[in-house]
Amino acid sequence: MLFTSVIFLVIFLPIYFLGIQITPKNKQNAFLLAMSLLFYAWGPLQFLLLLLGVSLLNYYLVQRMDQSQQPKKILRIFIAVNLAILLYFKYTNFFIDNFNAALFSDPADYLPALDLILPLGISFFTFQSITYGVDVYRKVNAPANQFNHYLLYILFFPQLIAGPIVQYHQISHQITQRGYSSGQLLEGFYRFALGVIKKVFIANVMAEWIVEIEIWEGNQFSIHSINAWLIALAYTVEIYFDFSAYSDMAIGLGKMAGFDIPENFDRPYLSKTITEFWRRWHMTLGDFMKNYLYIPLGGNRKGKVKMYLFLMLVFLLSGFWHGASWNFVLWGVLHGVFLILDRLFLMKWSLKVPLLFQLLTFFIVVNGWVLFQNEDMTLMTQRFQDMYHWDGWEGFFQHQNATYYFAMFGLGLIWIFLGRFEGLKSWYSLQFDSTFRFATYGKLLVIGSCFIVAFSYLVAGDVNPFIYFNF
Amino acid sequence: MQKHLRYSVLFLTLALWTPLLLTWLKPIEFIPLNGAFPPVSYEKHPNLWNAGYQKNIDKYLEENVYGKSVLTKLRNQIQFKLFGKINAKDIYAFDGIFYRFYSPVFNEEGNFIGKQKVDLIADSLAQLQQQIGANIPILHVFGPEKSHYFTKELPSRFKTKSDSTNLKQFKKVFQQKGFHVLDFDAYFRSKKFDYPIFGKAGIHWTNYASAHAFDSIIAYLNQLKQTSFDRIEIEKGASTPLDPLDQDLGYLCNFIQIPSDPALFAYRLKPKRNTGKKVKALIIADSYFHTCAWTPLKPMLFDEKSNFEYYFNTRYSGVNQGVKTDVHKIAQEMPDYDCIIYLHGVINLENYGFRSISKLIKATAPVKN
Repeated sequence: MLFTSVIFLVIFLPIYFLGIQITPKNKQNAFLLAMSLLFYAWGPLQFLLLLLGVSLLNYYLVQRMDQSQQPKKILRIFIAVNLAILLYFKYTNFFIDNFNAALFSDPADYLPALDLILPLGISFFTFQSITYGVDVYRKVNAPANQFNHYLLYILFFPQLIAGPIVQYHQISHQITQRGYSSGQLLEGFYRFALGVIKKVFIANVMAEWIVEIEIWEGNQFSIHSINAWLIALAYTVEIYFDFSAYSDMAIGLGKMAGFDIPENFDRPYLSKTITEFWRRWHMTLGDFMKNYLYIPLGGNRKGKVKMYLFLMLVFLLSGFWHGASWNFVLWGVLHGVFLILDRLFLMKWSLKVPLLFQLLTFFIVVNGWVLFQNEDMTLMTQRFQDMYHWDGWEGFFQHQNATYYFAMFGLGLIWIFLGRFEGLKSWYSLQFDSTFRFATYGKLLVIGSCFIVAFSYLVAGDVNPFIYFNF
Repeated sequence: MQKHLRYSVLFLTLALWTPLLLTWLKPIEFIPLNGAFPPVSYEKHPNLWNAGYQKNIDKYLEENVYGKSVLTKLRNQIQFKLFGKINAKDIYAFDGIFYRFYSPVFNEEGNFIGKQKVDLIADSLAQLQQQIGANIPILHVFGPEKSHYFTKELPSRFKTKSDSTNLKQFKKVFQQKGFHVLDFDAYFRSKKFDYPIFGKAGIHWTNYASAHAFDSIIAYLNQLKQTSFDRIEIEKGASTPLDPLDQDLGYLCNFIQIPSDPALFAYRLKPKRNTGKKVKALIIADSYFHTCAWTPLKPMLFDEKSNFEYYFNTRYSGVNQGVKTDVHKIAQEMPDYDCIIYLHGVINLENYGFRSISKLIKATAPVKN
């Protein structure tokens, strides 16, 4: 179920919103858990059983680990089980494909691919589970003392499918002790509505635009250079607004129930270096990679050469986590290379001419998204050739709807640029307290009105994909 | 808890529940959307394990959420008003003029079927004419093309100056063979008319243009056969309301209000000379004949026994529901017809005759003993 689907907005959200208000405090967790199970049950039911089974096993293993004299051994089993499930569902066919390509020249000899469907949110579920086990091992937090508390932490629907990746210690106290207030409900709705608006007015439009440009080009393999750049830039805007909108919605839905889900984005396209970009883009994944992979590998404690090696390895794996395809690996490598260059000299230079480096970083990120967008390596190479081969001004996208797409693209860029102004950050959250403030209600009214228009777009059947659901 | 917070939450709760309650109660029925939509495909064997039940509920709700048609029109109107965006599939607008998407992007040169094929079709038509006899002339009518009519307004990529087009080649060969050719594409571009030949938001020629064209066809026939079939006059400024067909693309865009076309005005068709004799024609045509078939024009000009073979696939007699075209029945009726009219829009010329020619040759061939 998508947060921007008609079923979610028309049935699930009203029930959730009302349920939070009328459910007694001691039954709130049960209500949230029931809603989360219903949310996940909207996909194939066997995946819910898989998730419940793995969650039960994880809970048991971590309880045992906490009491064990040899916790490391159990931690290894715990991590191995979780990674094995992820590897099986996400990477089996990738390995089969590459095995076939490496060993056999005749397709008749190929090993058949398995008929596997990726359970929704498995990548996020696995990482979140790992943070729980590792944190208990590191004594960052005690294990959950009730299975239903653990289950709520893992399955809480706002963050289950596409993050943010929440570490147990960040919300463990909220599971047992959290307040409820009307202000929180309104604040949560405000943030949720903001996400819907970003998704509908910008991300969805960019997705539609990319398709229209490809149709304009007659779905040709090679396209006009300006169109190739337009696709790259539209995708850059789309992926940010798509994913950050999802995070806004998740944070808002959590807020309605009294949870503070961590932020996932902080104006990433204004970064001066790729290192900074990763502190601002998908922040919870960045945290995970740093705390659960880079530092355990050795971080910067084992000399510079190894540090560079670890950085490259972490980003190579980060790329691979995004998808079982070589383009994601290349994307990870590109970012890894620039992280190393940052540490060598780029970071120092960026302090001298920050604006230039903001543009340079944006340029690198845009090129990175071309790698990310095209799983077909031949098509990806072609897209780069198209981008860097000037075809003149004739023949680029001049569709009847171009004004609309360019306007929404411009709106997206302005939104990104306005991030420079710290004061405007206040639009991301509202504080409702006992004093009636016109400004607060004015903002709610503006966002609420836009939400209604966005709702009409969704009901009308606009393009409505979610990129990060694929990962 | 403060009152303003309590009331705000109450209001928001009600607002969130409103779509669901309205979908359930359906207090007013809204006019459905215009146009054809792909049928919703529900899972045939739904169960919880394949998420079939869930998907079916999703689809049902997406189709039946209350006010979908109004909300869709609202979205379309906002986007069109602010950005000129059209959401209807296959409709293209440029400078406020609407086209079926294939019309401006239709590459006449690319769709040219070649001289050889045109010659073959012309030979077949000559044979058919010979078989049915000269007293049942076959009239070859080319409808006007919207992208030709608005050629100045269209971007250069949609224009062609090549001579290798179906229209030019058919016209040339047909004229060489002495066929009866009425090229309304050239005719309407060569003269100025009070009334537009195409509405800005229409797909076919306007009813006015169609009336003018069919009256000209009757005039041609009268001259050819020395007959006096009824003709019509077009009276400007009369009270006939605008025909929706003149703005059909606008309707298909599902706006709350379709853009106005001030050039269109009310007029009235009236008999010019009422002899009571009307043409009994076999009309093999594409949708260019719709402007006649479903309007008062047809009974004013055509005998009720005239038949419209739409794409030579469906027969419409009068305003009846279509029945499947029957070539043998046509062959039996053939001696009763005053003429055969082949009417094609330029886009359809690559499929000249809609596969009727060989079938008619076969069906009307003299029986050998």
